[in-house]
Amino acid sequence: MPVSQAQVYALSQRGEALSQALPPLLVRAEKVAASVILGVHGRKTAGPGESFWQYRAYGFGDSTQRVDWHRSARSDKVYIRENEWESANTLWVWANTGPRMDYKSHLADTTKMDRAQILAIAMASLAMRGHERIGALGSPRAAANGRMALNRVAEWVSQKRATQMPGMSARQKRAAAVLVSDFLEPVEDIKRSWSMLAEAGLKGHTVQIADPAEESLPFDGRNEFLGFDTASTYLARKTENLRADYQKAYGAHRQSLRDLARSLGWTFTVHRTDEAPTRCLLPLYTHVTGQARLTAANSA
Amino acid sequence: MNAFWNALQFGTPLALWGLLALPVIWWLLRFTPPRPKQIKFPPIRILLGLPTQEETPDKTPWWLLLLRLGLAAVLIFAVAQPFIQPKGAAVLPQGHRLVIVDNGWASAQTWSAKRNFLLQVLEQARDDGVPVTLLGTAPVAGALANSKATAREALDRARLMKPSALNTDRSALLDKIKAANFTDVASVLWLSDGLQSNSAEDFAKGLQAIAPLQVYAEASAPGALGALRVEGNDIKVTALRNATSPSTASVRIIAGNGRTLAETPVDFGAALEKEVAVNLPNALRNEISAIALEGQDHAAARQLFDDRWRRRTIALQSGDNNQSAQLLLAPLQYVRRGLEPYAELSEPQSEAERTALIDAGLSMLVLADIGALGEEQAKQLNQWVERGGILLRFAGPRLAAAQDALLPVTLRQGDRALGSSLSWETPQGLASFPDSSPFAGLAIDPAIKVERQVLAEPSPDLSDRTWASLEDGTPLVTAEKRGRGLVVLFHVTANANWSNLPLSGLFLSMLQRVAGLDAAATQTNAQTTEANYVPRLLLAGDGTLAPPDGSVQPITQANMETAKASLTTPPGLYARQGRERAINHALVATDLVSMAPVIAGVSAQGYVEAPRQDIAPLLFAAAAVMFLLDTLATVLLGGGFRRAATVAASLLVLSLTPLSSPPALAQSEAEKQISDADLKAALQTHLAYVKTGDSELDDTSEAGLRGLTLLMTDRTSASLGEPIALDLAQDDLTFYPIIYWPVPDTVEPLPDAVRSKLAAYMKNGGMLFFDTRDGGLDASLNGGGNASLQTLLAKLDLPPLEPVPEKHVLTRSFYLLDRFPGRYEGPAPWVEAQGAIENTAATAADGVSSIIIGANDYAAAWALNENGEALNAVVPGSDRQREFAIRTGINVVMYALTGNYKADQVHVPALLERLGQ
Repeated sequence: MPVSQAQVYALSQRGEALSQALPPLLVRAEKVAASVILGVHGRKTAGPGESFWQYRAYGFGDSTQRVDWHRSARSDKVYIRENEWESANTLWVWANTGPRMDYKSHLADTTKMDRAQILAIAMASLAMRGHERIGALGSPRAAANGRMALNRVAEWVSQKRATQMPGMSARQKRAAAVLVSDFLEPVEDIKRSWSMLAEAGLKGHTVQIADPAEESLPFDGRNEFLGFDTASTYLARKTENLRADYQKAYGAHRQSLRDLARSLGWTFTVHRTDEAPTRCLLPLYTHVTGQARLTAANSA
Repeated sequence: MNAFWNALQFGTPLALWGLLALPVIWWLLRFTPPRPKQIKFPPIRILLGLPTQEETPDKTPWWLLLLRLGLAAVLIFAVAQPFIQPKGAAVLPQGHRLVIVDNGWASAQTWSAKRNFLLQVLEQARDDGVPVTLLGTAPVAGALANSKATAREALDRARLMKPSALNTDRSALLDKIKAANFTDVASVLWLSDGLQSNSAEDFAKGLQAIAPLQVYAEASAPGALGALRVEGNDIKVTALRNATSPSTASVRIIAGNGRTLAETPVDFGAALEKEVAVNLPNALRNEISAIALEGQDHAAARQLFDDRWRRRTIALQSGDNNQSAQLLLAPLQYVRRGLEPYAELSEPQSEAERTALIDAGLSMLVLADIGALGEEQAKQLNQWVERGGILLRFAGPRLAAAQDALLPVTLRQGDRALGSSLSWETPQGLASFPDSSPFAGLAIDPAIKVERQVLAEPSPDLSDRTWASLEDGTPLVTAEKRGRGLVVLFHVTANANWSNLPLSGLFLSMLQRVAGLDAAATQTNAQTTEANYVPRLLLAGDGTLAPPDGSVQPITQANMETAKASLTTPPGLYARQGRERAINHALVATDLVSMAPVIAGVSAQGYVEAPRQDIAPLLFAAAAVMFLLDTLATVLLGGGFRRAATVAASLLVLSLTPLSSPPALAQSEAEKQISDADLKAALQTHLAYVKTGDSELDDTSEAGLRGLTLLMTDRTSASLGEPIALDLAQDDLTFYPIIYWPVPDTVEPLPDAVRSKLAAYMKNGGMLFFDTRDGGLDASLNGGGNASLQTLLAKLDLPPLEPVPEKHVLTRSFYLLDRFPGRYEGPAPWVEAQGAIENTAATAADGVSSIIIGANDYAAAWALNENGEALNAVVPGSDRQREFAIRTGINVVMYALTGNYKADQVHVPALLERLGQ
């Protein structure tokens, strides 16, 4: 479905507004050593960059080309001038905009799709303000920095698609990815998809968007349930009798997703559409910046 | 129970065939289970993966099926209009039944009840399968037309039977019955009207002689009117009543269009008759069409009004001016005296007066010896005649000399004198009037001699236009119809100059006949052959007028004078040559005497109709209840019950809410006491916050304001008391310069009392500081701002708002600020727009905004624990942010306390520059 430019801007603006409560996002650079792309913010450690970081004594194995002769001339030692490591990482965002996401129960204020898009854009916006490069997963465009890139991400995210799994494009290596979806596909399918991304070196931060009705099955009596993306229907004679079984099955599905994420070294966050989006944004932010892990490490 | 089934009848039994459709309905319902509610649900895969439950039935539950079938059956029965009516109780012998009905005017008042009873009797005869002879006592021409018939035919006739306008003639009917010589009559039923009128006793005896008699009679008899008379200006009528009727009644005078002209109450007292006199103005009197006894709908309660009693307006004019000098010679003396008793007379002295009279609806104009009329006048008079006026002219010397167009015949110049000294001819007497003449029937006075007259030119239609002629055949009175009116010419003078006709009584009669003519329908030409009165409208039994059915023969004029209401001369209106005459009942009080309750040894029974009870409404009600039950069942099965119950419960709660409001009196008593809290609040300035009911939130507010108070005391000269928690519904807001109001996530709309309290607070210089605590997120997310805030502020009369502009007092009331962070680094608060403050009543508040709406969760940023350490982290978090949050708080409080004092500082640079520094 074509989306007008005005809608794209509106979405990106709302996403940005959501992200304003948080400081700019610095995607944790974990595996980026080999694929450094120079950015503009220092990483508080020595490395390739343009601003001065420290002088250190010349040691074994250092290239003589790196000796700072001006500094070394003022003393007996030979110094090497090191600059601060300035780099930028890439944050890929992906929001499921498939038919299943277009659902809003009587308990929720908004559709799952809307919430997913907002979260994706908010994260992209945070990353953009942190001078990271951003891109939409599955989009043919390369990740880039700046507001234009954000608009492109918003444009991609705001389009409804039939596919409900993140796609893979050639250049998405060694970066972080925020995946927002309801992840209601069979776990095997999700495992296949996530493994593929993980093998490509992506660190995924998954957010499961859930409508409150999906968690609790708040229906009574005789109901015929219709799927969004499948033709199969389910006729329940007394829905209230199903509820316990359903909740158990739903919980099991979620637990297997959580386990899958952990096994890949990914993070898994759950967000319900009757909650404020900020509730989700903060933990997600900490996951992506790596603060969660740091605090966990500190406390440990 | 058996009696019930016997009494059960159906209005439309054909509808019961619908019951045949029940099996089809059953079959359809059986295989159409209630439709499940369809819900679109994304995690359907999880549902599909659940262990299978028992199969849902594909059939309607049996009790629902039964309910629906019952509903259909009840509806079909209801449509068939069932009712319960026990059949008549009287057991009559089998065999030919003679049923006699009094169908005179006296039955008309209660005809429908009597007819229902008659139908019931006949239906019983039909059920018994016996032949019936149905006879009415109202006079009918000829012998008994129908003798024995089946009850079914009798029913058809009874349905069409209507009461007659005539008196019953029981003896005539008895004679006819005897003549018919019924031999096989097993029983006789007499449905009497209850009146004694001609020999009820004899009639009953005569019937008793034929077969065992059963008599039914009305308990009461209707009232009636006696004959109508007119004496002078009074219209007199005698109201009659039966001894059983009430002693008061009312006589109504009805105009032609049915409107009531007058209504006179009648109080009989103990008497059975009472004369009523009515005097009406002439114009109204001429409109009268009938006089009726109020509340009585039958022929004898109605006296028809005819031309005899209407008064016409007649203008008299003569060519002679000195009329008053010699009375007996005055040209109009005899005409005036002759018409005076019957009409309103006027004598216009000028043409202008005459024109005014014509415009006012003159019915007749008498012109005595006026010669040729002016062209304009002639034209005017001609128009009037054609509209229906009667122009009566008398000859005389002037007319003989000059004539105009307004004459029925062409006159020869000059006049002829009979019996004068120069004439051979002797004065002529009158020839008898032709039948076609309106004068027909008047007796000729042989003493009348005409000595002089004007002569008409012979013409083919002269004889048609002649109403009266002399013995030698010369016309004496001629007339011509013009349009709807008449021109009549007496060929002699109106005084005794030319003849002694005006001196005779015949002249009076002739004048009356002319004046009585309704010119509109008068035929003066060749068609004037209807010498008889033809029935125009006849009274029906129920007192309404209806066109005659052709069975009534015309009545000759002579008979009309003596006619009484009878079979040949039924009551009604008759017309002849435009003249309308009425034949009315002429009843006297004895005609309304009731017959004896026991007559010929048989006691009369009343017309008691078996009560009829409709069942259809009950059935429809039952169907409605079953339909509701069915709907309920469908809802239950469809799983929508919970929501329906919620709605119902909330409706119930809503309806009960007004009951639970506390009595206002007690509250006002309590308010008279100044509470300790108010006393405390009045002695020192306090910061205050609104208790939201969310304890966590209230604690934060408390801690925040406490912290702010501490910091204020540290940094400024303001010395504030302990922060105060406010319950908006109870507490007085007057004492607090600023009220901090954290907006909870869920709020109820404000009650009216609280809202008006807040409005007064804001108007009188208070300041509300709302904090949505979302960092401005909701505003941007939901597009319309914070939903809770919207609920709170709904209906509150707010000025236009704007974000704190640059150089606003709030940016410099204590600290110089360019941003207003709280716990979040959100957008700047909104305050009353500057223009609005200057333009509206807010100037009363010293130019201070009465409302500040922030979003950054300020209280959380200010909150300190006992040790003066911050309780909450700020986001994104820096000491500078917290410092600015505190500064924002101080600025806001100082703004509330000092008002626009610092606003002047805004102008300091400009002032200094102006001073030349």
